[in-house]
Amino acid sequence: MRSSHLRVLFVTEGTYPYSVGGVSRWCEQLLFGLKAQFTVLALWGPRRAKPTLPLPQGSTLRTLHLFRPVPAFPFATAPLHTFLPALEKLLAFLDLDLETFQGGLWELFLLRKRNLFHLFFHPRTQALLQERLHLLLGRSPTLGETLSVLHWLRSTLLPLLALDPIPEVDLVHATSGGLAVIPAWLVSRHLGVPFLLTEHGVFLRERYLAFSETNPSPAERLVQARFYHLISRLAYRETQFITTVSRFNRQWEVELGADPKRIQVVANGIDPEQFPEAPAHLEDPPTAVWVGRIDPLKDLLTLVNAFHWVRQALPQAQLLLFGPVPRGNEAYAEGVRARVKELGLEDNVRFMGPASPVYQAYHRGWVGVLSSISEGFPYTVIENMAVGRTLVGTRVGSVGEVLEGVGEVVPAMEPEALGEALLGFLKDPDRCLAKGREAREKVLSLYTLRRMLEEFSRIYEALALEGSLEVPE
Amino acid sequence: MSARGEYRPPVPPPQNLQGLSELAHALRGLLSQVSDPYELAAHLEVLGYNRYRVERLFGLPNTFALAQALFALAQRDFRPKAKPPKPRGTLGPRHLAVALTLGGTLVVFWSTGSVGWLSALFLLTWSQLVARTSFRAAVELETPEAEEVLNLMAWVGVLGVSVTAFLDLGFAATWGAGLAWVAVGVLTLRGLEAKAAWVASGFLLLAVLLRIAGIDPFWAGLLPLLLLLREGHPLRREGFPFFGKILAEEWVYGAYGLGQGFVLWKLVDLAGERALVGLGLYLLASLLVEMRLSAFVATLAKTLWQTENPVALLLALQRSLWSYTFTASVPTFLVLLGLPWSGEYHVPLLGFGFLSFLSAMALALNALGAIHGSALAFLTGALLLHLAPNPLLLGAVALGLLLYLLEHLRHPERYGLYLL
Repeated sequence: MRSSHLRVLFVTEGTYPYSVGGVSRWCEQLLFGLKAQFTVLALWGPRRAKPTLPLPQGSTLRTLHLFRPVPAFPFATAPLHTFLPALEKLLAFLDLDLETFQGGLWELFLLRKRNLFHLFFHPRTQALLQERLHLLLGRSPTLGETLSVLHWLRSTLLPLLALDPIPEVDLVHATSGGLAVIPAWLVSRHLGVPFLLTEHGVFLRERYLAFSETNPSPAERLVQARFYHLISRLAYRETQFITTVSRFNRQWEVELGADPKRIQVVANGIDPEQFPEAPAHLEDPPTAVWVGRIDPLKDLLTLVNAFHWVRQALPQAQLLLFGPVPRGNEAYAEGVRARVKELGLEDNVRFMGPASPVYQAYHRGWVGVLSSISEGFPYTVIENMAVGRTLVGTRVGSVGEVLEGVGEVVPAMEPEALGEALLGFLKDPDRCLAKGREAREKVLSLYTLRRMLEEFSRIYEALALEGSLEVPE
Repeated sequence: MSARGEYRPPVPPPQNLQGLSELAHALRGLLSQVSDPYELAAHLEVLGYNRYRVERLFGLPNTFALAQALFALAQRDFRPKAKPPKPRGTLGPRHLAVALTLGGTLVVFWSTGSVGWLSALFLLTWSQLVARTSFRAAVELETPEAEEVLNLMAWVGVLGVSVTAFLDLGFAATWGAGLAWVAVGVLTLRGLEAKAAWVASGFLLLAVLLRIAGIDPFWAGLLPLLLLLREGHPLRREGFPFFGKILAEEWVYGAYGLGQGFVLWKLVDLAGERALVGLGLYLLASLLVEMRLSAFVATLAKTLWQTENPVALLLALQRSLWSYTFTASVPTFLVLLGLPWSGEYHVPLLGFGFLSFLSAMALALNALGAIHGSALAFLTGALLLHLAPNPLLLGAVALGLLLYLLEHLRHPERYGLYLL
């Protein structure tokens, strides 16, 4: 069978093997579960890091560090007259002109062995960008805006072009619809091999939401939004096949130009043996369990506010929060603790730290809860369901689809709705158990690791053999 | 809005125009900033405007349609937004640490009467390199590895001071004072400024006590050494390649420090015993310059972000330069004004006065990414002083560097990146 010799360039972005989380876990499952020889191309930040997750035997890892000062370049600077036309075409992304943008990106790729570093700040390059920004903003850009845009473009693009030596592969698989698309598409075009894209969250959507936190200048915001927009469109147009984890993502992909016939929803899966069924009875007090990393995206403040509402009706109710505080989120965690104290919930809400093995955390609850404001396909939901416990979740990402019929879904950031749904379960243990059983059955039939690996094995084989694939009607 | 083409179903006009207008009003801040309807759609989803709710409230098929309808009502605001500058340079524990260490150093050398210039040259070179290495390590390495590199730099400092002190005059005093500078430098770079100030005060106190007791100043270095041993870890191989890379790429920082050292050496040689007065004036002037420099850089950054008109930009840049240059040259002018009455102090006053001005210009250039020019100026100044021991030469070099700074400042496109 060819798949045993299939060589795959597996492009990750900010995830495997350097950080832990849902996407990294999915990557690990795929790499260890599929019979293929993987070259992992990891897009990572400027800092050198050690992999935190293992790589399968025989696979190789290459890392492209974005936003890192470029070392002294051993080759001669490219002539300006070859660089400027390529950049001019690339800047067509400001007009959302995909054809020209692709042409520019390809020309820059062809120039990758020449030193382009200083050319990005050449006065003529600056003049070119200023002209384009003027059209976009309806006014002259300030020098600060021009320079910051050029700096951003340079530190994003140059590391992504440093792909040599390009590995010989049969298939390119990008695991994000963002910057990972650039090396994936370039290698796929260079080698003439199929390009598969998997999206967990919609990259463009997440970037848009991130603008609220980074608060860029109008020029930076417009430029980055249009750049990412075109990258997404490039991915949706050029990939031979797209897998995504939810119908929610699919809506975005289709809206941005992806052919629905080339998109398949392949949900994440877990190994049910690692999540043994919880006892068929519930012990007092009524308990809700949350499992995850403490992060603003998980919106624990809404959860705590919701539980204040629950406590008023059910004073003995408990909320157990399992999970680590990642580096950088300490202030947020403190804010959540402060809110618990402020609402006088110290006896009801407990911070349990990371759980190991994690199924024991799920076993302690009558019902699971997820209050996130953004998700792709959270493993915590199917793990919770796999032990035979139902869940209340917010309608984000694929949560609504997964909980359909077996749990309850409420709008994000609405503490009263969340509290009411939780209270409905915590007052009715029989309903908890009945829904929990249904939830476990749903996981066993739809969300197993085996099913997920079979799907990807089939997709890899079909793409490698035939070069294209369509979802059956 | 879309690239979907054939897949896009026709979107009916919204039914609830009043509701749409109210929502647009409620979200006017967001609407003024969003880059396109998709961005608005992402935010609307987070706010709970899913397909069902949009259909119920506005009669539109999905969130994208609502975003498009709202985007059509948006009043965009693309006015330039000034990024808040991050001023640094207010008086803090690190200044206190430097002043106390300097005090301790003077006490130590006062008792011996001999200065180990080899160690001083090493320390000035090392301090520039270690600051740069620490910065690069913070950007490129994870925290434990960056700590490892700083640890290596601390050991390089201890080793360098020990070897150069051994080869130089007054081993005991040079070694003790040198280690104090290494400890204070490393602690400051680790962000432990208060601790650095405590170590410096301990060093000063010990130096005074040893002098009173007439004991060898060698023991003054014990406190910083103990601290370095306590804070540091054994050397590991991982830090060496990074340090090698920094040496290869950032050697100019070392050259800058070395140039400063040579100039100081020659000036102290010229001034003899009266150098102490000049040195004191120079340090006070440096403090003033450092504080003024942060304001200068912050003004430049703000101007770059806010000013659209290129002519207005150049004028604003010139204004900030002259304001900075004027302030930076005040100590030098005061010294020059006092020359007729300076008597035998005219050489140190003139030399250190011009050195203050040269340093001010060099620091401004460094902040604008032109350290090569500053390093060359210091090395040239040292060479000229060696060839002809006249402090006026330093004034000529400083004037040359001012002209270079003026020319450099005319091209914000070259240095603007360093101010973002």
